[in-house]
Amino acid sequence: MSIDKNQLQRVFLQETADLLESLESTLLDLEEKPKHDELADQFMRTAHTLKGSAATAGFDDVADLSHRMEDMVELLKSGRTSATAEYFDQMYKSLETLRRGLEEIAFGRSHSQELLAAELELGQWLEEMGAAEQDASQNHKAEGDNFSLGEYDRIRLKVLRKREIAPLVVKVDFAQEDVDKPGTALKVIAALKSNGDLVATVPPESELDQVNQSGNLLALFGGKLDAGQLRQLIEKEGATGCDATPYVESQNQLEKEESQSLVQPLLAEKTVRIEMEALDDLLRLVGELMINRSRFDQIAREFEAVLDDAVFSSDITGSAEILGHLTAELQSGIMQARMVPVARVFRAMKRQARKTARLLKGRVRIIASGEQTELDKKLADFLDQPLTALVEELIRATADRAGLDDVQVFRIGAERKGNQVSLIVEGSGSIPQSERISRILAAFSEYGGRLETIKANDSYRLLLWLPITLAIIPVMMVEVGEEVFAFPLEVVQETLRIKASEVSTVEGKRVTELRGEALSLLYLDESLEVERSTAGEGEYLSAVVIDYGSKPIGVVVDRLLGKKEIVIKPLSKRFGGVEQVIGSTILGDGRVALIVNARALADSSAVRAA
Amino acid sequence: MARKIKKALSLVKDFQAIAFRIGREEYALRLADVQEIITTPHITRVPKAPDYIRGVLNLHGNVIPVIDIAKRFSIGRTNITRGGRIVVVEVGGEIVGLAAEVVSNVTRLPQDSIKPPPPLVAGIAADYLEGVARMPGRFLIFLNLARVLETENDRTEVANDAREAKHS
Repeated sequence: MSIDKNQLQRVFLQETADLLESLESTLLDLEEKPKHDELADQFMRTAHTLKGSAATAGFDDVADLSHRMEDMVELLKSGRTSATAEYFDQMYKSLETLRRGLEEIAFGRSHSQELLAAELELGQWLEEMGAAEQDASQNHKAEGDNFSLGEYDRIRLKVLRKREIAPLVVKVDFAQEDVDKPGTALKVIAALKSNGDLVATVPPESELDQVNQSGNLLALFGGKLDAGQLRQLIEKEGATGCDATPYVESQNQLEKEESQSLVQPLLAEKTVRIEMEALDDLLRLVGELMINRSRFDQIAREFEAVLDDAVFSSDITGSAEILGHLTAELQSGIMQARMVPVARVFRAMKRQARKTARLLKGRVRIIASGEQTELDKKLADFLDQPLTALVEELIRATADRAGLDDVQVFRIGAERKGNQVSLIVEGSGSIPQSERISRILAAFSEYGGRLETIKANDSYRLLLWLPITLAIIPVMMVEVGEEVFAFPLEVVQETLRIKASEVSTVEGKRVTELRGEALSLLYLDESLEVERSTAGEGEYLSAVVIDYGSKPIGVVVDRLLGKKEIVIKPLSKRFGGVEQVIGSTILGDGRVALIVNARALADSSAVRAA
Repeated sequence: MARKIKKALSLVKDFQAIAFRIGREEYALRLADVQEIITTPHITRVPKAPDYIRGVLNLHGNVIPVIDIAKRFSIGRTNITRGGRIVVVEVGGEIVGLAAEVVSNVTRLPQDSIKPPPPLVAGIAADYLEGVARMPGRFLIFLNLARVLETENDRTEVANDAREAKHS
């Protein structure tokens, strides 16, 4: 299978994003638990994979830097360097350089210099810390390199490994006075062959007279003999001594092998990378489809009213229904495609925490849970900035108040509840206050977010409720006067028809009874200051019962228009960013309808639970 | 020949402006700053919004705010009717619509027509204006859109950013 270089490069670039994320995530974990070998191994494996595919794709700088980072973690694992803050600073810095380098490549720009510089930095570190042992392993490598192995030989090595026989590099020395060294070599080779698998020799069998110069023979051998038996065997043939060491595969060979096998699976992946823009376009189209579908519904109803032909009209309504189902499924599918785990946001928060703590010369630990909770990518992207700012501010405020001498522990978590996701930030002590923190928290309400603060004796909890998606939500449409409003179905408990006569006034507030309990009422036209031409209602009032803390509230409207799924169009933040309104949507007739923030409405009016 | 060249040169240095009337005053904008002009569609009121935000409208599938300049300067109230016009402009990366009663034809003006405004023009402080231009029988008030549409928030944000920059 011939794979051209461009294709390789494209595949490589697509996969690096995942690899980088994995590296960063593992590094963060490793910093917390430096003695966990599995983490170190995981990092090295990922770095190794990155190195291999970079080399195959022709990006040697990237491969080399990855290699160094792998070595660095090996250094840590073997205890030859300690898990100091400086060490991790260096690692994060190198990872950043790697990331930037890959970005540059993706944009077709030159990247070498930075990557080379980073590689040199690591090289220095490696030298200082691991000099001695590195030389030793270099020697191994050198010997390994001496064997020029063909495909067949490598397969034989693989077979040996599968049979759990570790290949050895056997160094056979010949006596000085041996006049027929090549002859002895031949005998040794024959003996080895009859006692196991001789994969290769240096010099090769066809050039054995070279042993006259070198005075020794290197054999790559795999067999079930132990060191003693091996020595006996070889000395019997007339050699003076032998030295057997495990065969360390030469790096180049490993890379080529591994990256070859890497490329095939990459091309056979079951996932597809798609540009966010493409998904946005699809979603927008679905939105238009939905608007048109409601028009279709409307038309179908108008037809029904006018036509006498029952069959025709039922055909139309039937089709409209099916169209409705299909649109809903399409929309649901696209929404699902946009979901990403919140882990990325958590990683950004951890990074920020580390940075701020270092700046303030303190130590901070962030314990995360629920990282696999999914939410819409747009929402995740939006959350990045305010959440990292929040983390920074919380740490600063904590430092201001109490200093950062002890390790500050913060817990962050995410949980999905129906159509909402709750993000939790927990810290110890009392809630840090600062203007910036208040501003950041206020920003969340723009997106229909709701903040709950829970204080305990010596800790606090910030609960941030957010809709899972910013794009499409189910709502209950209502009419007040000539205006149309939407309530997110999330907060709607039920809808009611109340007899006007059953509304009483208690201490200036209007209430009615619902299943034996008092229900406070809020008149939407009053709280939204909507002009109404017909002040006097009929016998019945329509109301939407919404969740509001412990007791629900009934919002009185003129007419209930039914449930709908709508595309949210955000309102400008600078103009018209009003607390009582979450956003807007465009109706079938082109008009804009506002999405009401029911809770803010209840908050700002004088209605409290009766 | 020289005259022709001079005329051609002066044409190049001219610019086009669009003027719109609110009450007794004629406000103007450089045509280059105007995205489009539409007939006033249905405007959805936004309750509890500042009084100079008369509501929002649907512009090609996007929801944009409608700004009443007269209210913004506290010099009256624009009469918004379905037959009126909305002048759509982009300011600070955002698209907004300015409510207008009547919009004039496009006018060509020499480059240097816009003169610095006197301290108070028709009740509007000079820093909201780019300048004024006199024409035969007309007096055009050129708006400084960025300042006109600056909100309290923007000002506090700028101040906060400056403070933060000092602290970090």
